[in-house]
Amino acid sequence: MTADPHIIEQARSADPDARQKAAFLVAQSTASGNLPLMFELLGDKDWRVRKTVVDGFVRDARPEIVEGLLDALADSENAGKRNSSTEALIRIGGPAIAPIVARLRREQDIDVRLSLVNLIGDLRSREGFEILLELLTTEFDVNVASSIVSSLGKYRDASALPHLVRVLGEREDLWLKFHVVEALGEIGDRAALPSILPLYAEKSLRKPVLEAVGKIADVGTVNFLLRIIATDEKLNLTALRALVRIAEASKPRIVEEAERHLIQARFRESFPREKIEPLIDHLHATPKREVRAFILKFLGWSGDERALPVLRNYLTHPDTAEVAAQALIDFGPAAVPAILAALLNEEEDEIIGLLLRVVNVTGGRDTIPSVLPFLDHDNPMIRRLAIETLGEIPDPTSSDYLLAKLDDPDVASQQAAVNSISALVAAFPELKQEVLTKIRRLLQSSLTPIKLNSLSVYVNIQGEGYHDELLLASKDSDPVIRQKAVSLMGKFGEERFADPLVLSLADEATAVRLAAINAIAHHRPETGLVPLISSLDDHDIWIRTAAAQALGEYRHPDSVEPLMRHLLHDPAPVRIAAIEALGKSEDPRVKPVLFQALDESDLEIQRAAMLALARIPGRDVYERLTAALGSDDWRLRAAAATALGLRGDREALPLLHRALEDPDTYVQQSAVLALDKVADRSSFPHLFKALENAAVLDDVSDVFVRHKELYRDLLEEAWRTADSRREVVIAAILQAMKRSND
Amino acid sequence: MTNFSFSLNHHLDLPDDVFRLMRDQIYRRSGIWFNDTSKYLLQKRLSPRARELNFDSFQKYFYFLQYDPRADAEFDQIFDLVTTNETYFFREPAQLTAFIEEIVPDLMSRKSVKKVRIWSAGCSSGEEAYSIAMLLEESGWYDHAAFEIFASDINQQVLAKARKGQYRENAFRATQPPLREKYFTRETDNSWRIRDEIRNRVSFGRLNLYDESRVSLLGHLDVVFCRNVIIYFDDSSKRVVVNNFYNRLSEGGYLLLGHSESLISLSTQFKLRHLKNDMVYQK
Repeated sequence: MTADPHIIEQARSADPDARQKAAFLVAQSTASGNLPLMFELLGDKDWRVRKTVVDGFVRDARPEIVEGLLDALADSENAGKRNSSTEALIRIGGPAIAPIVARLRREQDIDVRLSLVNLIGDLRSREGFEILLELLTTEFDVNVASSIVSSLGKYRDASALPHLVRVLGEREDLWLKFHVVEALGEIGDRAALPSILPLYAEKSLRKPVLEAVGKIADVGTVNFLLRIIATDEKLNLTALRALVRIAEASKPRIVEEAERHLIQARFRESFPREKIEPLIDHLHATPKREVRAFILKFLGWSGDERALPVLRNYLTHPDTAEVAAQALIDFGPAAVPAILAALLNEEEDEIIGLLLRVVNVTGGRDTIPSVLPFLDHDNPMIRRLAIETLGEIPDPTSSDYLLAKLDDPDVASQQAAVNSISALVAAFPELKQEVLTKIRRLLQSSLTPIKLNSLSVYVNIQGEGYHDELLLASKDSDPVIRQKAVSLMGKFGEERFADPLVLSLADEATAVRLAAINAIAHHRPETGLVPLISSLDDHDIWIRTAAAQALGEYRHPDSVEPLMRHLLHDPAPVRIAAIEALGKSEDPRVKPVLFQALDESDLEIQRAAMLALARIPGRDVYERLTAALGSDDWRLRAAAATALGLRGDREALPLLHRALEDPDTYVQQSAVLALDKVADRSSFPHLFKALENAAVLDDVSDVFVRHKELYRDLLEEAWRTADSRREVVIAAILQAMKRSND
Repeated sequence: MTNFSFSLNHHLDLPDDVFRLMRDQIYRRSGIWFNDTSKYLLQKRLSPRARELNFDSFQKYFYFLQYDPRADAEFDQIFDLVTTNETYFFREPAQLTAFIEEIVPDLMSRKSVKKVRIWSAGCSSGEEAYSIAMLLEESGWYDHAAFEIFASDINQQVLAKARKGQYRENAFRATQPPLREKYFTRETDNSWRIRDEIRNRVSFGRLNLYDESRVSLLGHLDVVFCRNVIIYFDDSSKRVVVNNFYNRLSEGGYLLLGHSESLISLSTQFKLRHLKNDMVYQK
């Protein structure tokens, strides 16, 4: 049977729209009769026709279609057909792998072998990896061999290293070596460095060597790169780019900061001063944004004064403003005079903001006079930055200026002023009395912002009599003042605030009641329990939610029945808070209602119930939680892992180990944190393996450090035999363990 | 005595799971996608808003957005806070030249009714729409036909700025000084205000490109400018938006995307046209 004759006619029309329609029609049903026409259209000159056919093949990728696509790779006359076949096979993915491998074993045509090898590189599989290694030793055609090497690089599997290094040693062909070096860079294992670095002597291999060094990102190669940068007659941008890659490579938090400083310091020491001008010239000439970014970075690292006006200039370009600002920070305190001069003349708000951020990080007391004018700028963002900067620079003379900003029209600026004054008083205790005197006067103001913020400062610096001021403020006619007073009372665990807080639960303003509930949750005064239970009947849903949460902090048996009642009838936020509170009660009565909540359709309720059940004993609870580790939803799997961790059931360890390999990163993280709670030596190999996972690397490192008594000897043993990628990380963890001892 | 540490960092903590949930909420409503590296951006921009609503955690803010009947209005606020709006006049001049010298003549040659409808989708603070109006004026096209320029954005704040038509230096980085002198007046604060004869040629409105029913209010259009906007969407929402454009354009209408954007893997509905000055898509 063949395709409909009308469709065939349409498929041969000169009009591409007609041919696309024909493609669409046959692609709806990939019946065997339609296949010849589809394969014909796969080679159409219009990309939309080809794409329509590809979509059809991908939808129904049965074996005869895959074989047909593989055959199409051999059409030497029609590049469009070959490309579309490749696209289809890639999109088909897994089901195409075995046929591709089988075809590769018997295919003689070099061009087709090339395509098949590239496909195996894109469709990564164990089977594909093995055949690539096999062919690496037998492939005679240098282009195919190079593609084999490139495809191996895509796997990023360090087990290919010895095979690739052998090729470097045994084969003379520079084209092949070029690809091997590239592949070693992709794999990223520092064990390849001894084989790669000597190849720099070969001129045609210099670029891939430098790029590979950048990708492997080992701090030990920094000197090698700096030497090249210093000794090359011209500016070596590839080496510079490699250096940036090493500085910016993602690393465990425990080594990141130290390495970055090391690289910057070494650059500053060794970069030849005579190369600053060529670097600047290249910056101006290059159209490439990426190149401009890393040159600006280097200019910042250089600490050379010629860089300053250049960095200043590039602050004004939106594409480079942030990079230039960071470069000025990296430049260090020596950049400050230039920044201050720029601030004096700058009109654009965005640039002023950037300059203030730089001053915030690098500035000292001498910068204050330059910052002060910006306290009255039109733009609230600028004012806030100026205020924050004064808070960062420890100088008591700023206090009066900051006090004047307590009534800034912008709320964020007011808050910044409060924080900055409080920080100054903490840094200079001798300031306290003087500030207090002024604050007491400001407290008499009739203006709400001044009163509010003065109260905050007063309490923050614990001025004499602040308790009385708070009690007074909690009775103010302005609800905003009352709310602030109540919130501030919440910071203290003082008995004298208990009654006013409880009384505030009856305040007519919702915000005040909310603040009171939050404060009571913090204190848990005895007298708070009954009013909180009444607050469960407040008309405002968020008050009821907060009340339920607060009752969770009390964990009092009297609150259980009311909470269970609200669990039945209230909207979701209240119910979720009630579930959380019931979980905290650890009362066996709550188990049935929590189980019921597990069966609800709302995922947030299910999740809350799961976490709540963490505190409820019982085999049935354990079984429900372990079953939930197989849920379709990542939130529920993560909650199950967390709950099992909180329960401390050692029986759950194998399941938590498996959860470390969950496809979702949040579930992986939850599993790590659960294993932190149920620390056990049996978890070591699983956690160790998880060090390869960038998403949980820092969390796993922290677990090892926190439980060093359990894991140190195992880590030391592992370090002796670890591959070089993990060696650095393990060493950093062991170092952190030692520091935590000291 | 209780000790306080005074943090100058205002931001509420944004746990990873809450970030993902809020990101999904924003995505479902607008198609705008925040990848994992944008977490800090969301935290920084939404933290003050959460505090303003008296939430002391993002978890509570999330529940508000999930369950409170006021969530719809709150999302309008969120879109204002999280959308990036940087643009300037006469951005991508080659494409604008293609519009004036090739696209408009083509449309004029085909149309019996002398009215061309143009949509600046994702107009931000109006620079693109006003640029189109200025170019039409400079080239004399207004003497030959009526042009209707409609400009939309999801962000209410930038729309307010667009209607006001007042700009600072940064907006003119690609503008020849004589053009600025001709179409703008200098204000006392050194900003530049667009002249009324240009301002009145553009209508502004708020539209979510992802919302097909709202987009259909525009009726049929001849040209859609959507430059450097859909880069903020993932592939799935890009397809929705592009499909909405397709449905709005008249037969033979033009879609102009940013120079780094293409419809490959998104849609086969449009034809790619290689004009003298640039490449554009046509229905």
